[in-house]
Amino acid sequence: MPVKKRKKDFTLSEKLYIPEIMKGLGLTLKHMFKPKVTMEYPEVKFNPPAAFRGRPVLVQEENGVERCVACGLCARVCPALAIEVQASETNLDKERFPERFEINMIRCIFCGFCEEVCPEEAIVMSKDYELVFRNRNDAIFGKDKLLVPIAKLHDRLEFLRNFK
Amino acid sequence: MAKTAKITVDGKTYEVDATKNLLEVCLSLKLDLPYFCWHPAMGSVGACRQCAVKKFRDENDKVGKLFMACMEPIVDGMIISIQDAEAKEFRKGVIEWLMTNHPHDCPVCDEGGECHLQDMTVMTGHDYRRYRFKKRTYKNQYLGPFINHEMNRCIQCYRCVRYYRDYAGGKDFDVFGVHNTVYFGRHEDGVLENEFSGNLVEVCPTGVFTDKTLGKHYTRKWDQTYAPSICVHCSVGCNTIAAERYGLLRRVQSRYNGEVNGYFLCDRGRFGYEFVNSPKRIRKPLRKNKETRQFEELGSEDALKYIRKLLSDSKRIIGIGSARASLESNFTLLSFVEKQNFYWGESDRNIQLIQKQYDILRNGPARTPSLRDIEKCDVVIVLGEDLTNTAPMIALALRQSVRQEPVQSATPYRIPHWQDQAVRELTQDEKGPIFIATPLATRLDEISETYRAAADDIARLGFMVANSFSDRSPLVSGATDEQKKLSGKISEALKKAKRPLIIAGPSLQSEAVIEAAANIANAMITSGKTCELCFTVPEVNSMGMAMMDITHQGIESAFEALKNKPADTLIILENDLYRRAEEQAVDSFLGKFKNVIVLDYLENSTSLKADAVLSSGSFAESDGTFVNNEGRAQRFYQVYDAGENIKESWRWLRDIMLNSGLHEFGKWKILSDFTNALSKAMPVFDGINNITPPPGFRIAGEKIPREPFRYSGRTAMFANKSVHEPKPPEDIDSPLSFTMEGYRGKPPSSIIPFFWSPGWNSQQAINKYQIEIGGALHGGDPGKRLIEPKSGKTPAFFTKIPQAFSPRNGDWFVVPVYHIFGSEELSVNAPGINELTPKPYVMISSEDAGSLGLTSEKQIELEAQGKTYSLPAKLNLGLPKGLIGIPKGLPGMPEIKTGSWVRLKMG
Repeated sequence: MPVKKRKKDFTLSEKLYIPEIMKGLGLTLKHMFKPKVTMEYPEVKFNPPAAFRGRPVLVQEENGVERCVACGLCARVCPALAIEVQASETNLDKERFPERFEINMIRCIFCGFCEEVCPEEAIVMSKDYELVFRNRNDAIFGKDKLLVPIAKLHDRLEFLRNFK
Repeated sequence: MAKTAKITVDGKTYEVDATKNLLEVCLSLKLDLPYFCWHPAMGSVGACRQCAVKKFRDENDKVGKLFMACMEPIVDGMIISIQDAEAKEFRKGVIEWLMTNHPHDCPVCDEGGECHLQDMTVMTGHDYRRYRFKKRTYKNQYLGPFINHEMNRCIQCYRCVRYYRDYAGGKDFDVFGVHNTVYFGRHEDGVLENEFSGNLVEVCPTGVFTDKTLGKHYTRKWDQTYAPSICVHCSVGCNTIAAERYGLLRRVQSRYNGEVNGYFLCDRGRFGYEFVNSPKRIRKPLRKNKETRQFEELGSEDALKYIRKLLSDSKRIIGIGSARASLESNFTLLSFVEKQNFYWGESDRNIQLIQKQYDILRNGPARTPSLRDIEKCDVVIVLGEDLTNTAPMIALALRQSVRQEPVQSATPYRIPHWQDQAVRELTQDEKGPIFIATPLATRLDEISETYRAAADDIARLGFMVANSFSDRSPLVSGATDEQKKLSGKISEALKKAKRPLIIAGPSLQSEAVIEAAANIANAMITSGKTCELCFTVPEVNSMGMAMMDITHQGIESAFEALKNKPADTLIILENDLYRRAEEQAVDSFLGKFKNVIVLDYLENSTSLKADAVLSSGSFAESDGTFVNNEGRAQRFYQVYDAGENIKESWRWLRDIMLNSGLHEFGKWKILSDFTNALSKAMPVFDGINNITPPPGFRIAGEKIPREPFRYSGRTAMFANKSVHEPKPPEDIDSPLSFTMEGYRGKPPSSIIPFFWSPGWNSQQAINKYQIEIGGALHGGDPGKRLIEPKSGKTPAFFTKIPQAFSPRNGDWFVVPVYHIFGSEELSVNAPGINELTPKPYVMISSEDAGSLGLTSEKQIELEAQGKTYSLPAKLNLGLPKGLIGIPKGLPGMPEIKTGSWVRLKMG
């Protein structure tokens, strides 16, 4: 293989090496006095924008009831087959509720299809990105972990209303 | 195809059946044309305006006119267009109108995902609501434990009312109101009276009528695991689709079989399935603790070890088979205990009757018709059977056969027979001749000429009719005027008939009735006419048992045999002996054995007496073959794998045999090994192995999936138990797999797990599986007829005519009363059926009650077989004097022998 020719040979100052070092150090020095852009996670938490797709959660209305009517569309659309919904009957107006709602968070790929297909805006992508499990069993999220009060989800619901 | 014509659809020319309408033809050609009000079983009315197509005068006509395809007869050279822009726009517009009032509640609607309205909306392309006003709303009704009513979803296609009133003959359901507020329902809340109301769920194109039992444990269509199954609740053997999720049977739907049940099922068949989920299910093998007399649960290995211990020191083993167990299970038990020790677990009397029926069909010239054939018969005589309660789907078929003759009157007016409304206007209330002779009033009385009498008189009437066709059938002396008049009328109708049919059965426990029926058929055939002969039998596999090469001895014979030659071990296969014989007799019989081993799936009086119980699979957890009353062998497959503790009875028995050192049975590994061995041992079953494809059958190297391809939640379903995804169970017995992977096209007709076609998510997808709409499935209708008539031989006639029935003073003759909900052993364990099951009672004719001074619901004491029972009385108008009706098989009802005499005392 022929050796690739340089486009430009080093100039004298570059060849001298020291001035270039000084230049580099100068840049470092300059940044020391500029405002910081690095977020010091985990001391400082990132607050994502409304468009962020964190873990899917179930919307819990102010009266404590979940919005979900257990229609099963999220389960159907889930490309990872990670959602399981078991419907049961309720006397409330909505007729049905999920007796069991489970997401296998190891399988979830955060595609947001479940949110997109939901006819009730009952499952939305939250801002929660901190998903650490000590073991795989902890990664199965039931209703206890999935239900989030609507107050915490206003941003996302607003975003969906504007852009969905 | 009777008459063919060439038509051009969107520039392509097809040869089609000219007797059909354009919509049927287009669907038969597998073209997608939306429709609502038309149903293949019910003909056209042109109410919904959805199937509009463009019709052109000739090739030069480029404009064309819109026509409703369902109302257009086929004309040779017809040119039409489905894809025409104006036609498409029109169809879209129609959907838009329908949707102005349809609620957007698909997420909570049970029909969602299998909704014809959803499919048609997508097909027409309507996707945006422009109508800004309020939707019309209704109050819903309570329609009983089976059907949920949600009237807001209605699109006024009128299918429900046409099905319920016109097709099924229901009275308590109609359409009310006018204009935009048309209402389909009852005049007030209440249980739907018709026994076929469950079909409303499938007939309704949207979610007005939904399956309440499914709603209790709701799962979407795409989330269920399906298997082709056979209904176990009577002898007709309707084809069903059973569905499961999480080891819970969710529902039963009709599986189209053009020769058997077609599109429909009766309510017992559709809603009786819940016995599978009953708390009385035996889910693990049980062993009775010798000291505490309590059952202890065992693992399957331990159970087999325990049974081996029981069997090791037994000298003689008696086996009792069952007509609700599959051929394979009975055959395996037979192979184990050998012929001389095998008893058919049925009363001796019933066996005689069923055997007689089988001999008549096997040796006689009369053909046994399929359900579809019954619909086509034009003159029907029913002797002694209350069909609505003993073989419900035959009753529904008879409601169609009474239309055979009147419909012919439309031909001279050149009205095609599929023009439902026009034909009904023309024929009005005209009915074809049908004669029903029973002791009690039946639901079919409104369409028939009736004769109320005891079994012997019914038989005498039959013999009189037979005699009018052939002298070889004996003359009946001393006939009453009523009998003479009626038999003359019946003979007259039969002489005119194009396709006559005689129906009889064993329910009155009378040989004479069966003989009379056979004599009529034989006499007609010897006099050069045709005649078909249909017998009902008590249970799903009774006919199969009659065909088996066994000693045909029943319970009482087993009791007798034990007296002469003792035995120490008894194996009972899926049978509750207390339903077959008297309590004390069974008690003493069971008491004579050291070990009683029961294989069953529901706890019953017999299983409670057992020393060891093996947990058999019900129809939903087993594979096997049943032979229906027609003699059609049909296979059913397990819906789900219930784990190692629930096995098919034949598999349990095989394991017992291997454990007992009968190593030659080790080669029986999968279902087809058992079926092969059976057909080798008994040539009458030749060919039953081929009624479904072999277990090695693959299409493009793939199995047929039991689950739809969009089955959801696979990685989450059992994640709460173990996060490791379990390996899907394997099915070694069939070409079906338990997963969603496999061949996505249409499977062979006998192993269709569910009906689905792209764009057709509802049951209407059946259209795509049929060669011609309403006809056979691609590849032929499933099942194999095992009984064909013997022609050319002069049939034997029965000559023994019974004496006329004469009432005795103070004594009452017992006739059985069957209930569609209640008389059948398994279905009463389904909560819905149980709710509709009547409480025990005795039925007395109003006339007799008058002379006794008895009123309805009053307790009376009944003395039978040396015992006294106190039961409330029910009065009946039609019941002849001297007869007493005893309901059969009701929970809590003592078993009182049919055909015996009982005494009454006022309570």
